[in-house]
Amino acid sequence: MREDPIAVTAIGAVTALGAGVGCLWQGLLEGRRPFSRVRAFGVDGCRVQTAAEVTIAVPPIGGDRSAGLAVLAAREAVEGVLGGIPPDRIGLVVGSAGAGTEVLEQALAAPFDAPSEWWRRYQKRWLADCIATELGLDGPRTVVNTACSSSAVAIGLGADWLRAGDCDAVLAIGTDELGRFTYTGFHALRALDPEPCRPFDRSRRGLSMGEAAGCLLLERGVDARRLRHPIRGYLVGVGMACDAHHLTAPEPSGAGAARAIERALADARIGADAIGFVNAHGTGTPLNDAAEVASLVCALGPHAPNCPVHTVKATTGHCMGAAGAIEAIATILALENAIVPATAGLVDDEFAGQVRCVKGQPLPVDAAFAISTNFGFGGNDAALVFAHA
Amino acid sequence: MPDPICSSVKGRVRVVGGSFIAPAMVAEQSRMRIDFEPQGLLGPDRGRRLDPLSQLAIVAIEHARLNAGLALGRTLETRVNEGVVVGSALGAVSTTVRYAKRLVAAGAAATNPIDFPDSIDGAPAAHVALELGLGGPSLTFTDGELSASSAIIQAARMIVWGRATRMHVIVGDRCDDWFAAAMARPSGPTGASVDDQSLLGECVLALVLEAEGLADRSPGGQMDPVDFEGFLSTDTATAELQVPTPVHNGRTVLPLDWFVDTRGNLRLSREPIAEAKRLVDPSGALALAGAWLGALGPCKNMLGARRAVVPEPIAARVHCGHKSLSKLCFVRHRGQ
Repeated sequence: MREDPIAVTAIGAVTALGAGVGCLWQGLLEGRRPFSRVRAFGVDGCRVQTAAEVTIAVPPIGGDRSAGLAVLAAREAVEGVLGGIPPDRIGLVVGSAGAGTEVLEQALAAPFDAPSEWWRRYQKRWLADCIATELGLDGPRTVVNTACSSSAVAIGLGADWLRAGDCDAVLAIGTDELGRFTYTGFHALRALDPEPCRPFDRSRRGLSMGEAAGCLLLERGVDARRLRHPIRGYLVGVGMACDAHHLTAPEPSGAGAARAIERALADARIGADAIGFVNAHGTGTPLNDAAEVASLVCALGPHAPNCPVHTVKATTGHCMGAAGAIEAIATILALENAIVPATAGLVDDEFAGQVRCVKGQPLPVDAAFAISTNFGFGGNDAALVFAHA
Repeated sequence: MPDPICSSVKGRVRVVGGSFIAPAMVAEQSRMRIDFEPQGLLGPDRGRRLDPLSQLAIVAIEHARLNAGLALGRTLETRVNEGVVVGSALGAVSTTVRYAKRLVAAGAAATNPIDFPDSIDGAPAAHVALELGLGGPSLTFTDGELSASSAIIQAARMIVWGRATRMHVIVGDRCDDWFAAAMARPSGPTGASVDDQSLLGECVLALVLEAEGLADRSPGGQMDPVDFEGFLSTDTATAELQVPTPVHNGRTVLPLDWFVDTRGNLRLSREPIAEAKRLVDPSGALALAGAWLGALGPCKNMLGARRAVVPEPIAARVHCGHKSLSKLCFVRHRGQ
């Protein structure tokens, strides 16, 4: 393992399961399915009308629900932790895929009633500025968009910033509200399952959308130990790749995704057989799950059939740009607790024998390392390797 | 305190080719449009289907590769370590607006499934990766006026950190007519709104960055390499990095009729500053184009770029939002 791991010293999450990582973890262990008819906007005329929405009150920050979700998650993570770090040494990397379209719809529907700075709010930079202002962060900040792998990439960039010495701590945040623009887009593509999604199941028909924000506080390991910050886990490897195959469909052989996993393993300086489990992207679309399993078979080699694989999307919904952060947090929680949650909704495992999908009950796994993978439109592949603290 | 970004990149990343699609000099409404339609180069199908920014990104980066002596066409097998980074404040705004208009006017049933994936901010990067078969990282930064500098900084970082050996960077904006008009409305936004004294400037800048020592380019590239001397992304509003004054034949050169004055403002002409209009640079791409082209000196094959000589040094500074500031500089490679 590399000698300069990045420590994850705090985590926070808001999902349809509730506010806090405790709700997330409990919901994953119980295999909850918080999908219901969409309330955020009208879905009359839609063939599919359900999603996993955050039901607690989310105060909009800067008029933006995605920013509000992010601040809730960040506050849980950093409460009482950031005191020893100067604000101008705390970086912020935000991953988001769909923020900003709601205000565009407002401006189109009623141009003269739109907020005065609607076109600025349309730009995703607004998110980072709102979050930084709300949390009093003065370090470098950026917003990265690689569709549904956005916040996995954000976490990787945050690690790079720390290794380069740009800052002493980084808040890596993934956030995306459930918006009509994105919902109807996936609906138009016929990518939504009319029932709650069933990743890796032979009967799967698509994804179920969700909304969430996840926040990870990253610090150099040596600094975290010096400041006596509790270390929840280590980020030891980052891999990024592009399928260069199709704008929406994954490369069927999984070559691009496998390349991202192999790069993350190389970055971590560990072999595939060291991986204790995989938190898969696992959207539940027929094409994604098949390509993803192919990528795992390719990247993990002989270890693949024995390596436990699960996905949280059957419980949280597909949280778009926030998915990477939520799933990184779930991976850290699983490492901490030595338990891999089962994939909810999985009954008839199509990929039995190729990978070991966890179904039915959570699986006790005392793992030293785990991988979290995320893939997005445009063939954007990202893989993160985490290590037990 | 040493600049960590500078020290991590200096001497290790080189700009080996680029191209610049400049805004037209004739102001139309409240913006300076890109007066260049790439459909002829892309073919009618892609010209009709792709978002205008994606079209320009493909054409610009192909031109940049040619300038660098690099082959075109798709060869994923040999380009698994090459990636792409796009920096754009507005992204694929034309397609996004088109999709949203139908959604607002007629509901979900009227939306176009083809438009949706092309509307995401990452679509231009994806199309470039598809076109060239790039299997390395594909990233898009949507950082407002810092988008361009974020993109180029992170692209260089991808090389420094060994995530890629060559990165293709495309920065800039191609605005939508409705969006531009809405931005200019008197009752519209505050802050950097487009008013009588300001013009929204469209442009697309494409650069090819590679690790120093990479040697698979064919001879005969038409452009001198340009080194990164270093760059810095910070919130320290007082810090400022001056781009070394680019001098050619004893004169300071700038590529266009606009320039960056010593206060970091974009100006439209060589007229006295009081009479010049201010260019709104949504992604900061115009400022970076000025810095790069200035450092490059005279060159060939600039897509639509014109050159001018101004008697002032360049100060390249890009800012966005609350206190944010990003700076970078290019230095002509003395060895060429």
